[in-house]
Amino acid sequence: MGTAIFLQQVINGLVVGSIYAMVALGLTLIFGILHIGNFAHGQLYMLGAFATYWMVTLWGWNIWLAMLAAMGLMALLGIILERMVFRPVHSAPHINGLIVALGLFIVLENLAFILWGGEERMLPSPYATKTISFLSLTLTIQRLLVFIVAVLLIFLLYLFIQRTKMGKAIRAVALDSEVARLMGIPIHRISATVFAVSSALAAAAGALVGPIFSVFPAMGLSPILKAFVVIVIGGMGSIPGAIFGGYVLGIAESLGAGYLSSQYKDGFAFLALIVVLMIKPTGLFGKKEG
Amino acid sequence: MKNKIGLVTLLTALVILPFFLSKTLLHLAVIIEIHAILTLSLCLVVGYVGQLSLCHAGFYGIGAYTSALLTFAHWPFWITLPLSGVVSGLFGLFVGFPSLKTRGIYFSITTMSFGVLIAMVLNNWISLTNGPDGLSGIKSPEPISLFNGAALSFKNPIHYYFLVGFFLLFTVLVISRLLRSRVGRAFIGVRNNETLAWSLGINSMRYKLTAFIIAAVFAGLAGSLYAHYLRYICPKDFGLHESFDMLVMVVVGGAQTLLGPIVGALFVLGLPKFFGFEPVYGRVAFGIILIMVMIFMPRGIVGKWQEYFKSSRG
Repeated sequence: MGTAIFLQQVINGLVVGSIYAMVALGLTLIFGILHIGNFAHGQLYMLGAFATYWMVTLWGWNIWLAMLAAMGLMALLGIILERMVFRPVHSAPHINGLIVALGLFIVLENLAFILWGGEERMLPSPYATKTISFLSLTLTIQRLLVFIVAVLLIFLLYLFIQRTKMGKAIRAVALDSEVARLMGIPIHRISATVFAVSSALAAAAGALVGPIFSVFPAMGLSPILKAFVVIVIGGMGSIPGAIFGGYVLGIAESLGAGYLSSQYKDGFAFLALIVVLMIKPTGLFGKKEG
Repeated sequence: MKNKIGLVTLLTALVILPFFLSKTLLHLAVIIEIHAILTLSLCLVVGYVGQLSLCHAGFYGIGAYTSALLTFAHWPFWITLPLSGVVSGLFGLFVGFPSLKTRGIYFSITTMSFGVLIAMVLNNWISLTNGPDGLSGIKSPEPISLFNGAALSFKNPIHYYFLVGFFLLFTVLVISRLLRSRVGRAFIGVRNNETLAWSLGINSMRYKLTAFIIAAVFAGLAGSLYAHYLRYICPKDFGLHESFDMLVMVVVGGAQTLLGPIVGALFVLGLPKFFGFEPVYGRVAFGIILIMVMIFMPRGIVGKWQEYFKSSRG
C-alpha cells in the first residue's frame, strides 16, 4: 500500500514536472537570448490551452490536431510580441524588460477574462476517462500521454538546439550576443525564432494539462512562478538545468503534498529556492553572472 | 527660490484639497497617500540600490497584521503603529540578508519567493490571521484631543487624510535627508558601480541591507495606516499582485527621483478611476499604458519630464 501511494505521487510529480520543464525551457531560452525575465510566458501557456479548448469544443477538431494548431498560433503570437513589445526595450535597462513583461502578463490575463469569463473549463479528451493499471496502481491514459508527449517535445527541442545550424546560432547568441552579431548571426531572426519555439512549447503544455486541470484565465500564474524557481535553481540560461529542475521540482512537490502538508505544497519550491541561493547565489548549475 | 514657491503652493493645495473632494475621491486620495509611502520606500531599494524587490507587499502586510492583531489585544494604535514598523524592519533584516547576496534577476526571484511565502502564511495560519477571510472590525486610531475640546477623530476620512499626509511628509523628509547624507551618497555609489564603491572601502552589503531594512520599516508603517483606515484586511491585499503594482508605480513614475514614485502612485491608482473603467478593462488599459511608458519613456514619467525641460532650456 505504501509503495502504491508513493508511486502514485511520483507519477503525479512526473506529470506536473513535465509542465514545469516545458514552461521553464522556454523561459530559460528567452532569458538566454534577451536577458528578460518574461513573466508573460505563462500567458502563452494559458492562451494555448484556451485555443485548444475552443478548437475542440466549437469546431469538434481532434485533440492532437487542435494542439498542433494552437502551437502554431502561439508561435505566431510569440513572434508578434517579440517584434512589437520586447525588441523595443532590448537596449533599455533590465528593469524595463521585466516591467514590460509584467504589463503584458496583466493585459493577456484580463483580455482572456473579458473574452471568456472566469469559469473553469475542462478540455474534453477521449483519454481522460480511460485508465490503465500496472503494478497495483491505476492512472488515466491522459496522464501517461502528458508525460510521453512532453518528453518527445523536449527531446525534439533538444535536438533542434544541439544539432541544427539555427540551434547552434541560438547557443552562440546566448553565449555572447555582441560577438555573435559581429560574426554575422542575424540577432533579430534568432530572437524571433526563440520566441516562436518557446511559445509553441508553452502552448503544448497548456493543451496537455487542459483535460487534467482546468482551463481558466489565471491558470498561467502558478506555472510561471514555478518555472522561475526552476530556472534559477537550474541556472539561468541552462537547458539541462531547466529540464532536470522541472522534473525534480514536480516530484518533490507531489511527495511534499502527499507526505508533509498539502496546504503549504506551493511553498516548498520557494523555500528550496531560498536555501539554494543562500548557499550558491547563482543557482546550482549557474555560470558566473555576466 | 522658484522651487520653494512651487513647493509651498503644492503643499497648500494638498491641505485645501480634501475639503473639496467627494467621498469616493477622498477615499482614493487616502489610498494614494498610503501607496506613495510604499513606493517612496520601495524606491530606496529599486532606485538607489538598483535592485528590483518583489516582496514589498509582504512587509506592508506584516505591518498591517501586526498592528491589527495588537490592537485586538487592546494595545493603543499609537503604540502599535511604530511597533509595526519595527516588526516589518526585523523581517526586512531577515529577508534582506540572504536576498542581497544575490543580484539582478536572482534577487527579484528570491524576494518574490519570500513575498509568496509571506502571503501563504497569512493565508494558512488560520488561528492567528483568520485565513483568507481576513480580519474585520479593526478599530480606528484613538482620537487626539486638541485645544477647546476639539478633537481629531480619525473616523472622519478628512482627518485620516491628514494623518497619512503627515506620515507621507515624514517619509519624504527622512528619505531625502538620508539620500543627501553620507549614507545616501554611498547608496548611489553602490548603484552606479558596486566594484568601485567596494574598492573605495564602502561595504556595499551593509548599505544595501540598511536601505532594504529602512524600506521595510516604512512599508510596515504604511500597512498599519492602511489596516486602521479600511478597518478590514485580508491576505489578498498583500500578495504578489500588490508587489507587482508597487514596482510598476515606482518604475512608471521614475525611480531616479523622489517625485517619481509619488507621481507613479497617483498615475497608476488614479488613471483607471479617472476614466471610470470597469476594473477588468481598467487592468487591460493599465497594462497597455505600462508597456507604452516603458517603450517610449524608459526613465519614467518624471525622468521624461526632466529630459524635456533640460532640452528646452539648453
